[in-house]
Amino acid sequence: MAEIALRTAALTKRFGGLVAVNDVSLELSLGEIHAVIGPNGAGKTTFVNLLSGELKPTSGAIFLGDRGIITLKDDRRGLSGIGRSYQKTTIFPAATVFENVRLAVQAHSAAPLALMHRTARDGLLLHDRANAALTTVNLQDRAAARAGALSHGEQRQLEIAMVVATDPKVVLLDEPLAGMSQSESRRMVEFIRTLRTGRAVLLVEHDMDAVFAVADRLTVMADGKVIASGAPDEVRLHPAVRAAYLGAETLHT
Amino acid sequence: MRLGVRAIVCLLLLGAIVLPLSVPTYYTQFSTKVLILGILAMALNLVVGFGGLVSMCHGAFFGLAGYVLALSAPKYEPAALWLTLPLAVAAAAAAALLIGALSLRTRGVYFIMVTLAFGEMLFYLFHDTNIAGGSDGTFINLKPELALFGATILDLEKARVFYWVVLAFAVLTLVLLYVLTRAPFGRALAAARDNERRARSLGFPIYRLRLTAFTISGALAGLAGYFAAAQFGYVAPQMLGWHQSAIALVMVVLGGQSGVAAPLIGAVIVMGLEEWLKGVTEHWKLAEGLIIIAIVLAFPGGVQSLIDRVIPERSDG
Repeated sequence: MAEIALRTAALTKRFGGLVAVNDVSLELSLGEIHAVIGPNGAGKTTFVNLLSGELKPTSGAIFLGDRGIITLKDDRRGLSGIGRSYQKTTIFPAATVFENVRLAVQAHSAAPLALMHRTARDGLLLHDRANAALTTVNLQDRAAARAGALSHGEQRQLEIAMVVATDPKVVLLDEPLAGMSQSESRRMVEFIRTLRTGRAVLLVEHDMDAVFAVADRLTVMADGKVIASGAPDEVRLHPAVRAAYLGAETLHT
Repeated sequence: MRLGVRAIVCLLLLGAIVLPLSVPTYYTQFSTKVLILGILAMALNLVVGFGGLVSMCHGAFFGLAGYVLALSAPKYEPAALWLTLPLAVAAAAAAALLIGALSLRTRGVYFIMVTLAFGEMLFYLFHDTNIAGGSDGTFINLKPELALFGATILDLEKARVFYWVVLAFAVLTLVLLYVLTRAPFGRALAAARDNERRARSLGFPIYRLRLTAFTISGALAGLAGYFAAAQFGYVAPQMLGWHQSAIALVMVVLGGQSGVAAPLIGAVIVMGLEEWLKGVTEHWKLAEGLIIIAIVLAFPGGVQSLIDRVIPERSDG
């Protein structure tokens, strides 16, 4: 059994009368990609926001390793090793690709808010690590380009490069393939596959081909609840899943 | 910095140093005033331009430091510069820390309103009580001096000396802001301005970051206020009011927000316009307003955008 990187226990979020996330207990293991699927409004993004600390849960608990992190604010969770991407691309559009990644590296450096570079080496260290992170996502040729001028696919790639540059233990990806062309999608799927080494990945995605191509574990949510969870092939055949999520349609393989 | 830019900067600095030797005292005093308000505008731009936070209470930090000088100066001898200046700057920094700690919990237009309210509170504190003459204000009879063992090293009563001291502090402010905005601190500040959500999820402590910037900015505004009070020889509540904050903001917008020195250019333009128009027409405020609107319409990025066009792309990032 792989080591559990992040675990939720009976996590619940209410917005007034609406229970967006209802009693969700879920585990993310190191070295695994855990996909969460479900129809629109199932509470997937709310769940990701609870994990990243952007929303406070109504009740329940979140553990990063053995440590309860419910009281940690979102920036502290980022520092503790939870990195995330957003449904809508969230980068620094006015800065260059290199500067974007350097900011990610800087946030996790020894002195993220240093009022000045004490030595030239401090600057070089950030520089080298940012370049290394760019190389892993194959964006090194675009380093000098303004992030806002990249194609949509490249921007999404950059966003994940920034997340990876912070060296997180847990990576939360909220619909990373949204709006991508087919060829961009294919490249991104290949890249997501490589993310699991040494990390736990939570993948929220609507593209079923991609989900079944990379997921080691699959959880289906509907109306805020988990209705099925397990190996992708088992979940696919689960009767409740077919009823709630797929309706009359059948999944192609 | 490129060689050409460096040469221009050196020439400008040299010109600024020799200026009081070649103009009448009146213009030396006028230039001092421009530099003082330039320091205020550059200080304000750290939060407005680099932090994306429009503060409407920097007049309060500016005026508070002036009041600290007025209240700590002895009546019949000059105040000691080495003592009263740090005191005034520390008071402004403390006020900025306190006001920042409360108002930085808000965003956008609410931040503007909350800072405005705090600024006005300080205004009324001095306006409605008898501290330092209440609404009439109070005089500072003698300008501060720097003395060592009874020997005066810097006597600010001399207009040229005063000018050079203020010029030195203006250059110091410029260098400090230049270093800050290029350091990890400044990059993080700009990142939080461009995309707060991304900066936060990367792990930057946004609140602490902005509070630090706000406090540094308030302290520098206090530096300007100290010298303003010393130069006018007088402090009044108006010095703390929103009008003062707004003038500094106009200088920032006119000069430009992306460069450290741009607000200083804004100060030169606003003060120069005022000086010129006062001699031309009685309705100089109306004319000044119209010209400022015209400049803003012509250069939406501030006058700095004009300079950027002449001196293309510096690569110092």
